[in-house]
Amino acid sequence: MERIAIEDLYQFVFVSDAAFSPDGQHIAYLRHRADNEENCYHSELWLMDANGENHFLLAKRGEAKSFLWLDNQTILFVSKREAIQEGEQPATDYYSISILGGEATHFMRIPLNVEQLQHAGENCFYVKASVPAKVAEAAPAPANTAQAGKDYEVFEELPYWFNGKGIRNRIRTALFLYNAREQTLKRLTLPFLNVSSWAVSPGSGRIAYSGTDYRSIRPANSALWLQDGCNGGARQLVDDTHYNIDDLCFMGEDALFYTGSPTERMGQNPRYYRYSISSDAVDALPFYDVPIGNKVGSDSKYGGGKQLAFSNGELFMLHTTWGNTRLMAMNKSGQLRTVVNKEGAITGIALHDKTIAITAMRANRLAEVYLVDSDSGKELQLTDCNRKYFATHQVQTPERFTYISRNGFEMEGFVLTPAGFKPDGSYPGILTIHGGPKAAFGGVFFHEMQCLAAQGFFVFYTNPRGSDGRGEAFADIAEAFGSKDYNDLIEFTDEVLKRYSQIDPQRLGVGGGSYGGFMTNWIIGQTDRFASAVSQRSISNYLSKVMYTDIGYTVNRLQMGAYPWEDFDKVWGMSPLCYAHRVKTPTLFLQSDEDYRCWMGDALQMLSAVKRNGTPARLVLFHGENHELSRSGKPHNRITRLNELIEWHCKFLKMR
Amino acid sequence: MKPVSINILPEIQFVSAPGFSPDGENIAFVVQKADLKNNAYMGDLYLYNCTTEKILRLTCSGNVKKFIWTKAGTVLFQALPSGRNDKQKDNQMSFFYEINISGGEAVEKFSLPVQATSFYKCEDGRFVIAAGVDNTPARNGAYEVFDEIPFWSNGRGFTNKKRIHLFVYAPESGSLTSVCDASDDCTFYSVRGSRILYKSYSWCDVRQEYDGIYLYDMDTKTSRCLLKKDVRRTGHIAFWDNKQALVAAAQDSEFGDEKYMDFYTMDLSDGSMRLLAPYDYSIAAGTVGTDARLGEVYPDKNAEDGYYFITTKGAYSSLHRISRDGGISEALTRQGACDSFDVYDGRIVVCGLYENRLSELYLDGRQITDFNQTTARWNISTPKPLRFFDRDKFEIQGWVIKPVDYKPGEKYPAILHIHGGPRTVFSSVFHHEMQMWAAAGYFVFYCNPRGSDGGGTAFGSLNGKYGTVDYDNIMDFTDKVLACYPDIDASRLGVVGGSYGGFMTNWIICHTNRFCAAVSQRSIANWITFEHMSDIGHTFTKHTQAALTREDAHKLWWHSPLKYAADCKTPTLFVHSTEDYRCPMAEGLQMFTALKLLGIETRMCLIRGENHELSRSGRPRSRMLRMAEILNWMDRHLKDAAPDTGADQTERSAQ
Repeated sequence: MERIAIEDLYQFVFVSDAAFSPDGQHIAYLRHRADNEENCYHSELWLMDANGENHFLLAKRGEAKSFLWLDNQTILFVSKREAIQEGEQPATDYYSISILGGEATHFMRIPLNVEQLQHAGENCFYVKASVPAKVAEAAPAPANTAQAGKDYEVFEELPYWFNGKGIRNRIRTALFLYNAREQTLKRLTLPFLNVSSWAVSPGSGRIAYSGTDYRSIRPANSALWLQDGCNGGARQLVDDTHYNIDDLCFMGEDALFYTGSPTERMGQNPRYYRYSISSDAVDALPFYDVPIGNKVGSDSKYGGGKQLAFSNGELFMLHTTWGNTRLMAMNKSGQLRTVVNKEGAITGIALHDKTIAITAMRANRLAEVYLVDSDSGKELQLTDCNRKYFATHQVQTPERFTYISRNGFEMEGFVLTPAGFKPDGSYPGILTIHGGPKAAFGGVFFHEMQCLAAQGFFVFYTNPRGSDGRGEAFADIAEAFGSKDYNDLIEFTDEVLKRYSQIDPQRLGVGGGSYGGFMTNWIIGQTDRFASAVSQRSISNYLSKVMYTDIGYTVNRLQMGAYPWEDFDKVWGMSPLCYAHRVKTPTLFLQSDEDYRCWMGDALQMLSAVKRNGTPARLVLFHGENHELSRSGKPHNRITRLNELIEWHCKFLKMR
Repeated sequence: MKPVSINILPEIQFVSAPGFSPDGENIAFVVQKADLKNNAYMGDLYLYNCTTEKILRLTCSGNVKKFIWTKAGTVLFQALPSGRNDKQKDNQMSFFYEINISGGEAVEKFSLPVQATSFYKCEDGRFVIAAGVDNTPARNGAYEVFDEIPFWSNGRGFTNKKRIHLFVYAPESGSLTSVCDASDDCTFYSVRGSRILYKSYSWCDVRQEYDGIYLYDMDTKTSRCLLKKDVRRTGHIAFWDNKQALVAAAQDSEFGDEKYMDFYTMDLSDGSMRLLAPYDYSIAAGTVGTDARLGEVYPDKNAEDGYYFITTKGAYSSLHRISRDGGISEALTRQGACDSFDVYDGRIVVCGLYENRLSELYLDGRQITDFNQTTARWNISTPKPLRFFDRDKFEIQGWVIKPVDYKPGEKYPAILHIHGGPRTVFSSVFHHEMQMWAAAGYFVFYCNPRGSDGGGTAFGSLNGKYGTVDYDNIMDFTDKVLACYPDIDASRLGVVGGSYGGFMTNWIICHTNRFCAAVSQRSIANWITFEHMSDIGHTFTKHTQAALTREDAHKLWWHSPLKYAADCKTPTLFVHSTEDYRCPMAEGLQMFTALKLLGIETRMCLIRGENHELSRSGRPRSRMLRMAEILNWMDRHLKDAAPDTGADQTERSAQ
């Protein structure tokens, strides 16, 4: 058996976006693979019978990154076969292919950078895309003058940039109707409305969407809109004074399920609602204190998958509970039943009538497609794209344990033993902290952790207060950043050291990204028990984090309980930079220069302070990457990132 | 007469850097001009003949920015070969061309595998070259590694593990010999015979401030330390005679690093220093602010009869000389901005801005170039002085520019302009943007508050006092201006400033509501973030805020405009450059977001690829955009019934 290595990234096959054909006879899905030579990801469209047989590659040229079934024989997929020239208007090409044979043919070119596409019946499609708030009345700048958007940017709004989307001033996510036969495009949403989620009714006749209509500051709460048919006007069902509407799904033509998360407190879970369209009545469904969707973190996921879908009278949804994802089904009155409850993470749902398929990370492996028996919940594995890899590589299995914490909660933790572990050995150990903080670690395959274990490190991690999967009270650490969560992590570290005497307490490392980067920066200012730290896309100073990041003025403000000018001591006191002058832990900072979630200013500040202590510190700044570097960054940069991370721990924890 | 508009920028001919030929017969100099099509400045070499008084254009390629005379009487200049541009990141080469002043095109003389920043030709034909070197191990360009503080530098970009080294280049053998060690960062140097006197700071991890002084022998290739680093603050250095150096250096003072430097002699055998002459002004630094100059600056020169240097006294910079006996005299007295000069056998050529003119050359006080005759047709409003004594008896100098076509009795809006530094000065010399405002119908007023240059150490001391005495001076000055010029409409005041002036603009909008429009450029909002992000953060903050974050975060916060954001009522435009590593854009972004959240009308114009020097040497299109943004903002808020002209392309397309 081979040990897991950083370059194994190029061997992984990431499976995503499984979908049944309308007749349920076939399943189409995507396979993605990181390519070393071209430093990109290649995506392929694959087809199989609904029982997993007759597997074959449908299309790969031009990166089939998304698709939809047009009918039982035809799939429409996005493809970049014809290069869009620089300076041309943005456009997205779609090709159609018959599953019965023959090559793909060009189907349509939509003059937008399409983010999502859904069929609107006949030759029409609903399209989601980011565009200027109002379409340009094209007065191009005179020759030889500075060009907006290229030579300079103007900010008049908050947020002015957004992670993964770049500069967002006066840019909105809008919905369009595209008629492929007439090649006409019609904007459905208001000029300044920014769409967050949307859904099309089963008969394609209705479209619902949530979003915010703003001209200055995007509010935290959103409104719900409904549009009947392609030509009907939109009407607002719920205004934007209540909650943030995250999830939408039609339950037939007349009922619309949606979730609304209150935004008064940090970490609040969504409330579930059912809107009856004909009677204009809202039913509040029971509160389950759990958000929809898989929140179990992994750096080995790529591509999407449905988190919520309606079929045969039931609404299927993913719930994250502790460190696992469950598949639940809800009836019209809001009663839930558990369909699948297994260890691991479900990354997407596909439904046809009563037939259920999921993409899931099982048995400490990458995601594959499984067919689910809807009564017993038993799974039949349909794809095994990574069989050879896992047959030849030594994967360390996370050992899970629980304990009752001083905080009164039962807590869970996971420990990866080092590859080649001997009970009488002595090993360094790495505490890894997830982002969020409202996210969760589970027992699923995590490349970075497996690489560390392969290099001889123990890796241990937990879900401290602030994490997801345990209800909103558990997730609320507002105004207690660095106390509740820090105490949990230190207590957990003590628990691990108690249970694993092979971990050398003199050789402990710590690392994390985003919120985990905040916590890493915090920890090194509070204790010297860690001899090495890797702080990624981190937060060091909430005075500035609140003021210059995309979600600073909403999410981080709520976490801090004050703007800097309202209560300096409170905000500064929860900022790691306040304690940076006493940091003795050698620290590596990993940062992307287009990360507008945790902007580089914070990492630079911490670097400056730590460095001036005479403490070893290094910052690696990746060009053109954002907050998603570890998950979907360019392959070479992901390799560099892992190399830097492991070398740093090796250097200071005396390996090699 | 023609109004001074934004669009005159491409008409300006920027004259700079005069240098006498070895026989004193000719003066070579550079003239640059903005080229909107290429969005760059085109510079060429010119020659003035002292006998015939004729001017000859030597080059036409448009890529000359600096040059030296060779002994043979040819001119050597550094330029990029055609087809190359300085945006090419892999460009690690320097190319040198030679042109014969008596005819013929320039030919490539030699090239060096380093990025030369300055060059000097020795008596024996060898060259001393200062050049950037990169000690970073080779790797792919997809990322940067920062493991030093500072990791970037305004105008130079990312400088982690990058240094300025001195080299000796021998053209005959082609050998390029480094004078210093890999970790050295060299600043000033002076050459005499085969010896190089230079300043350097050898460092890794964190750069502190006080350079060491070293003597290098080109023949033995050995360096000797005369003053260790981190011991004493020094400035410019020069050979004084065979046994001594002249060193600008500070002595212990209650004013700490705010004290101006004095003149010392340094014994070249043991480095011992002796006070030659006390001095309380800048040495070899002209700090008169204007946006109408461009070109290399040579602020000092060692001559037979002493050391010549540019100094800022009062509100003007002038040429001074210190003679062997320590006597300091004014070599050239004229109110203006003396930017560059050369001396030859008692003759002095100066490049500077005087009266209402742009940069021109003056030989022994007589104007010898007139590249900007066009200014004679411009309708320039001459600044009128206005002085007063503040409560601590310091004299505050200020000026008022009346609107062009001013009609007494009519009411006008006015713009208060605040300079950067703070240790620089505003004066009455030509300032494009201020004249442009006057042409647009504004009174413009500005002063040199405490902390400015030219008034001695006590006046220039502002450590730990930002936002207090300086703010009072500026507000008192505003009161005086309003009292003296009743035609200014006090309800239509705007304020504009950059860098320190941007800090002060941020401070002002949070401490008074008397201004109805503000433009805060390359500003500072938060000293805590500034300390940790600016290329000069940890040193500048220490010297100007009297504390570092680790010592007293509350002190830094007290002097941070962001602390007072909730009191702001003034509509404010922020202008920032993305590559400004002096005042990083994080500062402007914080203040902009605060105002936005507090419901104050605000806008941020973020200019890509420019740095802290945008208003002075930024690319022409960026400079014109910047001026238009500022004028539009002022017009929108200070002019009744002004059309809403603030719309740039983004906005226009968005509405």
